[in-house]
Amino acid sequence: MSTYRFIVLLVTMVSIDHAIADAPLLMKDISASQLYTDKEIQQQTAIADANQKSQLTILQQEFLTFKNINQLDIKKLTKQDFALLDSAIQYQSKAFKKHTEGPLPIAIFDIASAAKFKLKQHHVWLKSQTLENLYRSDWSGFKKRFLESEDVLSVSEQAAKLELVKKLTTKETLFLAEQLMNSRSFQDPLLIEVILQSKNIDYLGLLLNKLQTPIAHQIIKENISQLEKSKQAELLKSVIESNQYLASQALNQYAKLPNGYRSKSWLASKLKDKHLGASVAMAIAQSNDPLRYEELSAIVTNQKSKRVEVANALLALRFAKNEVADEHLKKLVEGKYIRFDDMQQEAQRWLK
Amino acid sequence: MVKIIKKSAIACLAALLPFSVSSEVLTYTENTNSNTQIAFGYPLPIPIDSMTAVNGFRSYEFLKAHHESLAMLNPEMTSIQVGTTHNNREIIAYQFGDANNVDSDGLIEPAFLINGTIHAREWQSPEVVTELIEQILERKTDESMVQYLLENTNIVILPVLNVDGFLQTQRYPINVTNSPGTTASSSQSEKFAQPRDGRMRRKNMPNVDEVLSTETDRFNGVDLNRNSFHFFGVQEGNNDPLSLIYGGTNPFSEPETQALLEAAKLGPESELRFYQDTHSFSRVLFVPQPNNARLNTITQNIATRFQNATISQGANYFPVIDDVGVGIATTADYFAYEHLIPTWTLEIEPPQGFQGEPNGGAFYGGTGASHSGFVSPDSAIARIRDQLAPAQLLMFYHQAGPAYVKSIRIADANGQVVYAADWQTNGNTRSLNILTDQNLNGGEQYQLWVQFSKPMRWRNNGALMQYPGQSVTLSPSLSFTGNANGSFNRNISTGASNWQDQSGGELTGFANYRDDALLVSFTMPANVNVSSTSGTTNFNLNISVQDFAGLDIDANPATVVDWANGSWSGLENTNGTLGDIGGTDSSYQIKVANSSLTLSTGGNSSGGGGGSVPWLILLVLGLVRLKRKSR
Ligand SMILES: [Zn+2]
Repeated sequence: MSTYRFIVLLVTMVSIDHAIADAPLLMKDISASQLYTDKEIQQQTAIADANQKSQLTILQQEFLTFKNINQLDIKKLTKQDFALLDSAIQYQSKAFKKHTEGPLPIAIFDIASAAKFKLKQHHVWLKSQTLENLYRSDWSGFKKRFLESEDVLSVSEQAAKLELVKKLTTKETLFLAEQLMNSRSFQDPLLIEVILQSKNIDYLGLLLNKLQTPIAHQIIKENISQLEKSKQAELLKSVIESNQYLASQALNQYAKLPNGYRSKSWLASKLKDKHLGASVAMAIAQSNDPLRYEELSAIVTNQKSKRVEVANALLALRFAKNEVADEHLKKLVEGKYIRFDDMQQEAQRWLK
Repeated sequence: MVKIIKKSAIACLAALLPFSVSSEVLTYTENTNSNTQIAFGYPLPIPIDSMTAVNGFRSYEFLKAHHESLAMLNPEMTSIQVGTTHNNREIIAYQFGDANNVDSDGLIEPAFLINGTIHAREWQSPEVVTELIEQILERKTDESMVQYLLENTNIVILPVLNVDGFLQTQRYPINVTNSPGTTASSSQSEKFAQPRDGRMRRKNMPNVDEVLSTETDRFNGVDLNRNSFHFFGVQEGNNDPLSLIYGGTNPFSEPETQALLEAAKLGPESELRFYQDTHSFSRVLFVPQPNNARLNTITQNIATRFQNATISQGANYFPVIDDVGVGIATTADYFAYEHLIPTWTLEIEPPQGFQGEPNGGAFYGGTGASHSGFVSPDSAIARIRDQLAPAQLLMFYHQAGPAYVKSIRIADANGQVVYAADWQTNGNTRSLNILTDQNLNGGEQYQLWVQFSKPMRWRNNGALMQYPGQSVTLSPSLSFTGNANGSFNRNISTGASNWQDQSGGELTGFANYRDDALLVSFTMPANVNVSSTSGTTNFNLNISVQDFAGLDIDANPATVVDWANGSWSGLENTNGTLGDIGGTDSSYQIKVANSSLTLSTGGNSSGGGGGSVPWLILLVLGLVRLKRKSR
């Protein structure tokens, strides 16, 4: 596809209103010729490359522009490429298909978003080149720039820094982690990345006791399991005690540790926790220890047990999903040992 | 017949393929593009084994365990198995309410049904629906909206209908198979144009194994949102077993859609007043419009309320109104056409089609790759959950129906009750039971307490305000009218402080829920022209209030409001006309005496006989004027 062809298309672009629209485009807002079926999309895009530019439908023009943008190498953008991207970010789609569930025209190719993403990637790449050069040639200059406050920097510089962390040595990341900890919160992406790269368990512990962003879940699932078992147990226990946000997942991870590394009494003591009790029940269930079921039944039958304890003991038997636990549940339900009617009713449903 | 001929090329292709052929497994990535990879521009969510809500998407096992734990801990939440999937997994619906199935008048509670995750790949759905469950339970003793709903309505929520399909998408959170008709040598965009299995499975799983690379079964399954009775098979593709929108052999052929019908029976169906099917993406409501003008007016009204509530939370969920009488056999179509109730397909964000806002995954700064809209990043879902809960709760509150005046109490300055009346419900009718009916005296001060059947106002941190995104008439209108001195009309002024948010009941505080009662003091006008024989005259007490969803009260509580044939029944306006708009309730006749007057013997119209009477009236009128000026 020639550069000429998509420039022709871009010339015809209309300028768009950047204010957030309060309504989407509706079927009445587009003409029938702008609406394509799945079959038409499949057929027309398959032959678009072979067509003469004068014969291209709007759909084919957009398809080719979209494809072209996606194929651009962000490390080798030419003047023409920039011209294309700069106008493409303004482009409003004209080829639509109907939404599967209702009368709403849906743009087939989001040319503007594809272009914006390319430019973003390009800017990140540029910044990372600069940062990497600085890193190789001038450590103190690099250090200063790396530690500079995020809010005065561009989004692309932040992204470039995050990428660069993987190239730093353990010693360097350890130093940077210590510096960043003085000025930033534990939700800060750069601090998180640097701590992970430093592989320092103490810092990792400090981080996990506070962390509430999505990456926390990946760390609990993947990074922690690479540590030695006793260290895992210690870290997870600390997270469960101090980070309510992560505790449920951390409990599940804790339950997966081999028998000798888990504290049964500590887990059992948390069964009556209002917020976490049900997650504790799940952890107990997953620890798969038949002896435990006797204790759980005892909690249910004990007249002194509070509602939350009884509920979570029953849940632990339920979550175990094995015959022994089911036998216990059956005894409790059929013997009417569950003294709270609503719980009796719930447990009864499980046995069906 | 046309449809059979048009059966897609995929069918022929699949039939020709030997069984050993594998489909091509493709991968979604954050930044890498290749012939088998496509970049979304942000990390793809991986299911998280957490029972509590996180900044991410919970695995089905943990989400279900969470639902079960909430049902076990809260007597207000009950689990009911409504069916079993093709692959023998239980489908659970949850019912929310008190122990009985009647409201405070002993009438069968209205019911609402929310369905989640009918399409497997729409991960936003189970999270949004679970948030609704959590908020209902967290606020179950709020002495306000939620407690009212639990005690007077029946909410049924089915968080995950397509369990088999949902598990398949979670099994392969970053993988799909190549589009129908493509091969390993096809281009990237062709391969990723119509992914159908793995993360992008939409349908259920009959005769589908759980292995992604199996070629022979990957297009199988029924689109559960095309398997309903009304408009069954109307779309091209509905009859093609390999189509994305295959409707099945006949309506409700699938165990999953049958389970949805079972969940509706928990209402029961006859009591349903609202249905929502929860999908993603597009950030719109698709609103069916059966041939029923009154229903459509109500549905559009509440769709706008829903939209405004979401706008107040920072997201514009736009109602896209269907053409009247047109449908495609979605479950929203089914409940709208079968039960004549407001229904819609909620398409959760990211948006699509809003000019100036990026589509799909590009909304999150991503590439906008094909199908990326089904994948909201982990970092977005907590916000999405929170933005939608207030709008959904408001729909329940609205569809619970208009409030009516339950009780009136008037007490004099000494706290002595001089007027007391309660509406007593007997089946579909009510009668006004007047317990006390003494004279009120002109010129004296009284306390008026009016109890409504619903919490009528919304508060945030104790301060009275509009419910998020709404703009209803906040000040109630209370007045006395009568024929004294010609046509008499005197407003009783009220303010925010008259709404009762402390308990206490009659003449002291709210009755059952915060702001279900007004307490206001007023001075009975002194210039009251009374009957010469009885020494009194009757004033009407007129009450007009909107609840915080904008519904006016029932102008005549004598006929109980219900939902029938797509509209409200038993709902009168100010003139007593039945319809969907309430009005001013003027059912209360208050006897007023004028103690300042010496009655003449010759009648009260002219006052010419007794010389002192006109003079007294003049004096009284003068006093009233002075009093007004001093305000
Ligand atoms: Zn859907």
